[in-house]
Amino acid sequence: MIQKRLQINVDSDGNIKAETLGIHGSKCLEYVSVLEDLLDAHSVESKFTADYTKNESEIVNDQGVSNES
Amino acid sequence: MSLELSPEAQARLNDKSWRRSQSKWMLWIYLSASSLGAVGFARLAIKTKDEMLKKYAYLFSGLMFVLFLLMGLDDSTTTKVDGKDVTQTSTLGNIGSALIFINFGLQIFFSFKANKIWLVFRAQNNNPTWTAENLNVTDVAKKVFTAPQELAEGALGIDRSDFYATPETERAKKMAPPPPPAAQKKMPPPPPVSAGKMASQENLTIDLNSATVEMLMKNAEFDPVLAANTIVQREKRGGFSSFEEFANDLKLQPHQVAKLKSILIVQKQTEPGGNSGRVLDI
Amino acid sequence: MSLEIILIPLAIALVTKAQTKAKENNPNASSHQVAVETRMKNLELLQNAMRNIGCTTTMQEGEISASLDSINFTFKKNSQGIWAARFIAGTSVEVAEQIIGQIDKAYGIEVQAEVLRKIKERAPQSGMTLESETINEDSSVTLVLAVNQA
Repeated sequence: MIQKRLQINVDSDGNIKAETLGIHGSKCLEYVSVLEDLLDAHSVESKFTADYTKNESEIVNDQGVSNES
Repeated sequence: MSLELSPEAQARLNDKSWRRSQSKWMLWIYLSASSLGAVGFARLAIKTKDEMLKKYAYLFSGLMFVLFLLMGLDDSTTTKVDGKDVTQTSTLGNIGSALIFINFGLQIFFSFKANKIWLVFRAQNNNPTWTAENLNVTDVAKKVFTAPQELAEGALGIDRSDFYATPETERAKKMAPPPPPAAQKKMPPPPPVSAGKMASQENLTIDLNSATVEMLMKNAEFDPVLAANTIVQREKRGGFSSFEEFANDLKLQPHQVAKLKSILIVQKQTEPGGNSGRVLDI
Repeated sequence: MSLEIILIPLAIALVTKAQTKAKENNPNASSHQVAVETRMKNLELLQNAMRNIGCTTTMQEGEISASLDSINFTFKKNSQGIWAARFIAGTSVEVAEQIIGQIDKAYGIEVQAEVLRKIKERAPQSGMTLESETINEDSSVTLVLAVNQA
């Protein structure tokens, strides 16, 4: 199973940029409220990145192919 | 001209396809080479009752009248010279020809000015479709379940309570006697919640297909522009069929989708303009 | 990665950078005052920030009276819950903006420290483990949290 991670960058102005890593598909949307509660912050902007379109089965297949090779 | 436009009106004006659909009156000018352009201006003037548009309508109607008059008075002659037709145009004929071109040019020029006035008028006076949006659900429920007036007043000698349970009567029947003071438990204080959670608890579900701008703006995610654009898009589609359709149309960002998905519902709109006009089947 | 989000801490008002602007009320009057709007919302962080840059502060009836380099000013919350500064008559707009700019910068650092503290405190309760912490060249701090999987 792929490790799910949150990468949080806080600058000296107090602005926060967060990214979900290894969390694919619509599951990443659940982390919006998790991050807001964790950071006592409100989201102002967001976008999906490349991995959003992958789903779990594709990831497992990719891993299976790379293991065999 | 500076006007105080509502967010809904501003959103309509910002919508290119809406502007295009409202500007079709200009085809009167282009397709008829201005001969029927005065009809287009007159139509706008009648609908808006705008003074400037009335002036345009009078101007071009007057010009068309003068042109027809000139055509009638034109005494240009065509004679055969060496087997070829030679037309001798009179002065009136020349004036008429020049006026046709001037009229066309003027109508094109003024049509853009008139269109601005027309678009602002239409944006502010967009005919609402007969939907649940402008029907207060609570009002409908009250009307259906209120006893008829004559029975309410006992005019027919009938005791209203024989046939209609008043809300108070029903409530009294269902209510258990209050517990004695000694048996009442002290309610524990509510657990502390974070500011974010408090805000989300206050967000009740909202039906995308019937909410007004004010109802949408009760949610922190809706600013005036998004709320107005939601109404505009809903009117364009005749109702959203799903939350995803709404999110795609309004180009919501992921964090907006995450926050709104749990509080926005989509109830199918009934067909507007039906015989009875009833939207809700209570 | 699948989702990128930009967040603003609740301690900072959702305003544009131009918000920290000064305006003079009635500049023609001989005793005009300079008022500066800010993005600061948290009292404790504001007081810490002012102390860090060398301001002397006293709290009185919901207002903060402060002094820096012999320039006196007060902070008061506006209707939106954002602290706004008012300087005594005779203070120039430039000086007022400079002082508030210093406080704002110190406030940002306080907010950063507070956010990092909250992450480290709350991560375990939220089912996450701090994997790494990196201080970058631009003074920003990057934390990587691993989501504990059942």
